[in-house]
Amino acid sequence: MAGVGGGNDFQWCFSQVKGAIDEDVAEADIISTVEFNYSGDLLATGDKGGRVVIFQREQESKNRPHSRGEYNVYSTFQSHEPEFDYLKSLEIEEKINKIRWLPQQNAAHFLLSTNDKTIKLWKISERDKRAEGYNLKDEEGRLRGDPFRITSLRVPVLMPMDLMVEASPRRIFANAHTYHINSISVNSDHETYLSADDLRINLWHLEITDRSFNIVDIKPANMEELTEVITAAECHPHQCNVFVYSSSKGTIRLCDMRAAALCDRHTKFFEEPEDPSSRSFFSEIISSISDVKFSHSGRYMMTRDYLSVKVWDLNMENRPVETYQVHEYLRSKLCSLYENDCIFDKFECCWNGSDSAIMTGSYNNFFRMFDRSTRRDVTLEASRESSKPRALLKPRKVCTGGKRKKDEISVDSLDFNKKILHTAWHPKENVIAVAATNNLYIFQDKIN
Amino acid sequence: MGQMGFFINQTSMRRRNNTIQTDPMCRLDTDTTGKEVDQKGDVLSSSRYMLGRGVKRKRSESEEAGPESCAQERQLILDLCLSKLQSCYAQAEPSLRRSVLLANTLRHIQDQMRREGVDPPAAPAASPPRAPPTPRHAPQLPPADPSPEGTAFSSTSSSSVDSLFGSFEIPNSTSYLTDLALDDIFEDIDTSMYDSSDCSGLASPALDDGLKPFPACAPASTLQLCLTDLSELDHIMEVLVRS
Repeated sequence: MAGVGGGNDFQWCFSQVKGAIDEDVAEADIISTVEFNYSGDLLATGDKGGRVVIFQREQESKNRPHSRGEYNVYSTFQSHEPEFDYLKSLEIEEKINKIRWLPQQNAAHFLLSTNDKTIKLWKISERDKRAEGYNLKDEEGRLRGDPFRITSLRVPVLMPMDLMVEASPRRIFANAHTYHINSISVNSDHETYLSADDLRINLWHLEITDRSFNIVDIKPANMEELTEVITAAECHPHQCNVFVYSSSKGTIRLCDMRAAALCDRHTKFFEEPEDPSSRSFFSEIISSISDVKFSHSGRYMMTRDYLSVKVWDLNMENRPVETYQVHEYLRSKLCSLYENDCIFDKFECCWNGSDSAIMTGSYNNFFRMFDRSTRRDVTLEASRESSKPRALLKPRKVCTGGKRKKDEISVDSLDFNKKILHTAWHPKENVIAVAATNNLYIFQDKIN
Repeated sequence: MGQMGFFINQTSMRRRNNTIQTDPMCRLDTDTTGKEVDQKGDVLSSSRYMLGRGVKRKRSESEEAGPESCAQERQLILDLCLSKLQSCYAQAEPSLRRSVLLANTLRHIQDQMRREGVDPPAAPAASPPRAPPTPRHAPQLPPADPSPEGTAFSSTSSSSVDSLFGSFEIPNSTSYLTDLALDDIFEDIDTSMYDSSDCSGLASPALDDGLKPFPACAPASTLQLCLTDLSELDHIMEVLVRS
């Protein structure tokens, strides 16, 4: 089914780009997270300025048969504001670290957004009618005259009005994280969610803001002994008692909440033995996992480290079932990437709707897709140059030693300031959203 | 300087891949925003290197490729590690992931150096044969610290990096004790603010080598001692003076 492009598979083509073209990028405009909702009709982005922008897919129009449901701005709101913790003399950034949608249960949509410390539950609802003709109040809501003079009953009527999309904060989950929140994940029971920071994972009920349960705590009694941090965590898509978390040492722990209230002891421990031939001073840094995602089926999980993506079968702990090199050509450049701090970049990864393909980002605005069955991979670029409507994305190639061929780009001319850290794949269709600094690119498969 | 970058990276590649590549990897430089990377855009010329370690660079530059190159690369990584860890002090709340990875890398390198120091079996505490710390920073030191290399490394016990990282987290550890301001991690290194009793768990006061500028608080001197081992006293001076 969903291939990654090239060959007999379909090809990706440009659909839309959002965000300013300006060369000078304001820090606040840098996109820090991208997430489709469960139906794929809504696409949310969060940025470093604490804003959340939600795009809605338009209904397919008969007049323009080629434009398949474009995403247009649906709602924009300020989710988090910069704060100052006076007790600790500390600024709390407004940057949105993660957004997670809740499964839709009524006409309204709900999402969780988080910065380093505080998680918020937002309700996004539409209003296209308003009540008119109140007995006691006028249109502005002021009391009307003497209520004792009202003698007849008048029922307000709903009058149509221009569509208004409202975002309102419904719950604020604060004061439970001492370190920086790196993940939030809604549980499959749809009632609870987990939030993970560098050293702890908490479990919340979506309705309760003044209490959370600490389910993982790896903070050593003596911080001198700290050698490992939690880098990501996610709930299993079907089993509400199971979750995983990844660490800076390249390992993944699967925990079962039925075993104990505090999951200090993992149920499964996934770790690939280090290849002694590729050992270097940077071994630990590059093995640090930056993202972990369960497949939709719940059978596999995928982890991203600095140079590769690995797919693990939950039934096999000693090694991944698949390993894909994202940008192996950087292995010889690690010293420089360490020097310029790129080696600490946190790339995320995502599955397609059928778990047959995976996608993750790289540098130079390149992103990579891997087809799991054919083992084919492709490098694509999110760039303004190819952003003509329905323009096919040309596979890119990085020259890895030897003579540089035409159409190849040498490793040394890659732009390491342009990095694609966040990508999202529509849950049902071949539509992807790729965040490149302050721009959001949307690509889709070519219609034949 | 440019030469040195070239040299180091070539050797490192040779070491890792057993192949000789012609491309110097240090040409990879994110400071150059354009697609074409300037030939002179050597990482070593970037401002990050202007941290008062120029002397060391010059020395390396004059050397020929040889068995010391591996140690030189290690020294470069070590230097970077220290300067990056140091820059963590400047931030109110640095990334814990980054700090931990840096500290582990530092530990790893120190362990390795220690193991090499063991090479002459009789002297487990001898200074490593390669990348010897030189006393060239001595003039910047308070006269009380002679920074003798041998003793410096003999004191590089297995706990030294731990202590470094621990000292790093003094405010946090302190707050951990009171279970109040856990976030203050790395935020404030002025240990004089804290009761020495709060810090007593972190390091033995016996390690205090009596340096004048420091308060009698133990962790500061542990940090001092650890960095002395690495002949990075200029760094520690900077850090402590700034705080």
